[in-house]
Amino acid sequence: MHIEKTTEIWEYDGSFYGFLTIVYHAFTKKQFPEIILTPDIAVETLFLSRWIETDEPLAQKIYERLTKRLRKENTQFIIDGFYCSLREKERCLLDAIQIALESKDLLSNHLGHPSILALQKSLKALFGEVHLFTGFIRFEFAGKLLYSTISPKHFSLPYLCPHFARRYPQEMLMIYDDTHRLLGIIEEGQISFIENSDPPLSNKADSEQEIQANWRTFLQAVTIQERKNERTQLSHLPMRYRPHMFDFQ
Amino acid sequence: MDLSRKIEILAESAKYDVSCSSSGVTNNTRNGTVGSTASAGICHTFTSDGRCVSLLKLLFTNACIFDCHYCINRKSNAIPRATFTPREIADLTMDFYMRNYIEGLFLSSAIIKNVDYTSELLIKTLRILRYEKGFKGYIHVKAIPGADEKLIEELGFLADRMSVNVELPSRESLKLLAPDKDPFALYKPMKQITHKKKELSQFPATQQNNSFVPAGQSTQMIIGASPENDRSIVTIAENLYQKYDLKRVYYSAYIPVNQDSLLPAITTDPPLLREHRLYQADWLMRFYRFSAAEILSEDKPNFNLYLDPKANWAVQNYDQFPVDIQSASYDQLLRIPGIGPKSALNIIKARKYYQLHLTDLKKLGVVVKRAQYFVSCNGVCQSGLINDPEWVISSLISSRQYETLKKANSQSHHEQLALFDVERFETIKNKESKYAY
Ligand code: SF4
Repeated sequence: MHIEKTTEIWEYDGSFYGFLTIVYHAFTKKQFPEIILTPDIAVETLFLSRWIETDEPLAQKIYERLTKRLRKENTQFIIDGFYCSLREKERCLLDAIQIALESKDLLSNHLGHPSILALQKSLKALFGEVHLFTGFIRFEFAGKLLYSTISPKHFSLPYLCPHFARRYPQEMLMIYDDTHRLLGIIEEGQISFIENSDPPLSNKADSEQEIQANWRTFLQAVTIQERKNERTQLSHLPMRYRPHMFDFQ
Repeated sequence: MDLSRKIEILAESAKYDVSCSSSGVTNNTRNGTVGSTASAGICHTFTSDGRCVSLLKLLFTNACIFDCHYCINRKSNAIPRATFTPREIADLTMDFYMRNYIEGLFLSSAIIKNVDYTSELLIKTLRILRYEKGFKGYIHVKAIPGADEKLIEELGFLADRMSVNVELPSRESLKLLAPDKDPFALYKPMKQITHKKKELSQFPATQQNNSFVPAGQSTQMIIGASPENDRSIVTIAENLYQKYDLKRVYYSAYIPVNQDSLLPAITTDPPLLREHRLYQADWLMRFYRFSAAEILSEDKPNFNLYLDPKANWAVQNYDQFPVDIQSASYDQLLRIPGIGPKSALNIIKARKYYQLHLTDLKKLGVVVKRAQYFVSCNGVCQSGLINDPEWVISSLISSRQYETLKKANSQSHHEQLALFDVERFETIKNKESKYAY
């Protein structure tokens, strides 16, 4: 399939369905725009762009078609890629979809292509952050609810929730991502999300103070003074994770 | 005594225990309402000495009736003593687990009253956690050597991993430094666990069979408190892996805590570099198919502290090099410094289609800076490859690395039994700019 690269600029609302709508237009016209903007980025630029209105039913159809025609791993690669914090990821993703349609190969074998390489790198950063958060998230009881706030760089929360749903199969949990204003709710293993949410009010129990103090006492006690090495600590546990960890308060 | 003071005393006493890995259990065989065991190691925080914290590591009590010379908790030390109740530990574990501070519990204990009594207390703690609280998370418990077999078995069904510490690498040292311990009793529980696991594995998998020490057993040795050389330590580790099917052997550089005529002076620095080399050697045995006898020879039984054990082996067996990249077997490739299991596989895949050049190796994950002295590609070796091991050594270590290692080395010259003549090495290092590489 020959696809023409144009100098056009398209803009959309930044949602996953919005992106699928773009995929529809790009492939039916056989034209890839040069730049794809979302409202956040659009304000920074002065270029005139063409607005692509999100069409949910159409997007759903595209989604079904992609899942039918692509390998499972490649579909996952594209979905995960969409949640990366990579500048101009949409352009890279169009390339990825084209490559995936034309070859039955795993996308991760196409690292020679700059778009795939960029996506792969970004995925690594995303999953790395998710892994660290599985350990560094801290919960507090607010009534019967376990509550936590995080400030991730990447769109980590949806990837984190399944881990905690398994870990606490009978609890009610809330994790608030204040970077993306996203609230994750886990209720007895069931996961749901509220977008554009304000932080929920939490009234934590008094006993939490004491337990957090016990935790700090423990950490103090297990530190071996003879081996003190704050640089190693910093490289394993970067500053940006610390504001929400009671270990350092 | 309040809980926080107990935590202070009993976490402090447990901190020198190195085995903290929580990985190894993938499937959940335990019934419960809270928790799961994650397969990849999750670090929940890092202490300011840079170590990962994944488990609540505690001593049940430090009020010991034994008098091991190397131990801070020995009877004859005047230190604050404390003992938890089973419920206190169970509650604390749950409190911390619910808030995602920890992946599980690592419970060890000094000997209180007698070995059986101590074991019973540990069992009681684990029972509360598993049966009453429904806790499915990871539990690593120390088996108390000498305890009744029934008790060891029950502990095994409650824990994910058990460890029996051999503590010191020889019977003589044990007799001298841990006079209350029976050196024979040490290996008994290890054997029992191995047998029980084997026995259970012969029956079709049932819930019960799978939950006997599902993450296997491990042990720990203290390094530098007694005079054994590196070769004997590595050999013991090899035996333990083979005989008892151990998952891990941990090495812990002895940090002097007691003034004692039988032990290194209290001012001695812990032999951290030696500990590091032992871990590297252990790695060679577990992932690189090396045997202990290959890693260190009888006439040079100690590590060259300036060179990792694999490079050390290569330099000492220089006659086996260069190895031809195109035709070498997987095992041969693994022995080349700078080539790991992954890059060895990559080479095997890639060479089917291409004649490999030295310049291709980097893309396949090889650390060419190291490997170049030991390989030949298309019959061509690195130009200037000199049959002088010392020159190769000096090329493998940069001046900066050498300086860092020298600083990190807390052992004296005669202890390390250097492979090379240190003085000559220093002169080579000072002149190294003459060599073009
Ligand atoms: S048995 Fe020996 S090593 Fe263990 S706590 Fe007592 S004195 Fe220390």
